[in-house]
Amino acid sequence: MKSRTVKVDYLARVEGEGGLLVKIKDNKISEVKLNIFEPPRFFEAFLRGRHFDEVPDITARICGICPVAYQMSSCNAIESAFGVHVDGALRNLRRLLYCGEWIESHVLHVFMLHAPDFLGYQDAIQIAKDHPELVKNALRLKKLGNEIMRVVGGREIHPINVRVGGFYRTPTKEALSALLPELEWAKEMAVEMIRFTAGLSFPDFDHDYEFVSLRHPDEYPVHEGRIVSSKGLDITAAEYNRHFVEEHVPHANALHSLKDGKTPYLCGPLARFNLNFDKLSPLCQKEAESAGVKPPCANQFKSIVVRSIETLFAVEEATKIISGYAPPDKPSVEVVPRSSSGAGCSEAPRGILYHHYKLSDQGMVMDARIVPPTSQNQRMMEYDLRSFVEKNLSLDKEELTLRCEQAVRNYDPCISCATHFLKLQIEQE
Amino acid sequence: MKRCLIIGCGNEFRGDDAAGIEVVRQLERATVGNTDVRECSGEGAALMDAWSGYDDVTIVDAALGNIAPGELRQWEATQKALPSEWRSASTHSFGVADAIEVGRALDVLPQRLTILAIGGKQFEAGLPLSSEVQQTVEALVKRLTSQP
Repeated sequence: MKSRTVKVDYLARVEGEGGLLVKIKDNKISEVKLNIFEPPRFFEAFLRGRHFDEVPDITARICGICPVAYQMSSCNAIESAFGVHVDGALRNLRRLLYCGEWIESHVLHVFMLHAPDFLGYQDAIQIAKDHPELVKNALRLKKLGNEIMRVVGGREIHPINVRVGGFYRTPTKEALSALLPELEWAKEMAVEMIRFTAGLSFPDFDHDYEFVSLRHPDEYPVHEGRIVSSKGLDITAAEYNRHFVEEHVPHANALHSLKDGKTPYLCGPLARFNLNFDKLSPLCQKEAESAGVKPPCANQFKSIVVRSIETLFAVEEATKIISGYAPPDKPSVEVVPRSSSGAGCSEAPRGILYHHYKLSDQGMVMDARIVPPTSQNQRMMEYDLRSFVEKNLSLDKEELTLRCEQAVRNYDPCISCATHFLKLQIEQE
Repeated sequence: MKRCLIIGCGNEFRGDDAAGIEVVRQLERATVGNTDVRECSGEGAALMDAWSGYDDVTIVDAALGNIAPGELRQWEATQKALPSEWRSASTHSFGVADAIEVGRALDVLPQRLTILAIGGKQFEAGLPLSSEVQQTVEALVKRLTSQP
């Protein structure tokens, strides 16, 4: 009997603390576990008893990489509960803020965290040594994303300008227009980013995923839309609970989410791209086709190219919104609390983020539920690992370990977002 | 004239991770000559942007690893690479030490870059600074405000 174990105690280049365990016995996989052991956090519990006005700022603190996603999903949910509708310039500003987050998150992941895997480097420092101009431009592009967040959201990390019903104050036309020259440069850089990532080599790893993302009739989904899947699901955020179930697993703090209580699914850039290719701009579609990435793309390793395509989309979208911007009369619409419940969903850079709140007539939170994208993808990550290892048993242990880490980083997991479970139980080998 | 900056890194809601933030907040209330002060989450790209244009930069950050709670260590980062164990201390994937080493590779470090690392004891969400770190923060603020 021959057995070996791939064990990574601390996964580098993912947000939060996690590890993975793959056990191989007699050339067959006996066990795959993605261990999430960052101390659990209790946001859902300590939101109870807080006023609805505080929720966007509190939930933004769940993550330093995707705070806008938490603000948007919470606003969507609370506005749905109170029957509030945000449109026009305020809606566009929300979308613009989200574009800033997509740019900074995608660029960070593509160049600093994921590209080293494809280039055989240990970290981004080696890329900087070998490709200094590329890294300088990547940092400049990321800075633009941060700058959009600062101008619209008040600051780069954990923006402070978002409120239920809109914003505390809206930017001037001049402040936004000042971003246009850099956005023009960014369009060229994003095209270069697509071509650079398309030139990487990808393992042959197609999988029959069920893709889940938002879909909107008029636009590529960012901050709102219906929840759809590649296998026919088409629901509102309010129906999410009827179709998606979270379950506890003993080896992780994060809950695993399953469709209809049994089917793992994939959310994130690849799902958005496959389900919404027709909503991308002509330039994004053309560059995607030139890059050899067309829907349905079922190779998660190619998500690095799709993140680059979405970066170009976000740059174009931000340019469009700023060019057509006229400051609204008021920074927010009136919000009158009522006893009710509401659900909201938006597209965090790494996938759909669901929020649900039960609120009192005074606007106090009675109950909260938050399902982050990493939680939704976690079971699929384990499936990917199992499938990937099965196909690559001939690799030596060091190479196999690196490839397993790369397969996890395909998901750009945000482990600190995904931990919100009370029980800490780590299975030791 | 030489442009000087002190950057405090960390997360104010995670115990001793707030050490750097606390130092620069106290410095903001004091007078530190011609030195600018600012806070940074520790996200690497933002940090590289923050030090751009300055000649003499000091980064104050909490550290984990082979360092006692409250212990203060100084490191001249322009002269030598950071100890490898410091590279895992950040809560972010592309953190302070990564930014310094990428900055070195890209030749965009300031003329002088000093790291003041304060050994942390507790990093759980919601905790205050430990007494050891609190004492070091106060001593460091005194030292920095008394420098010419």
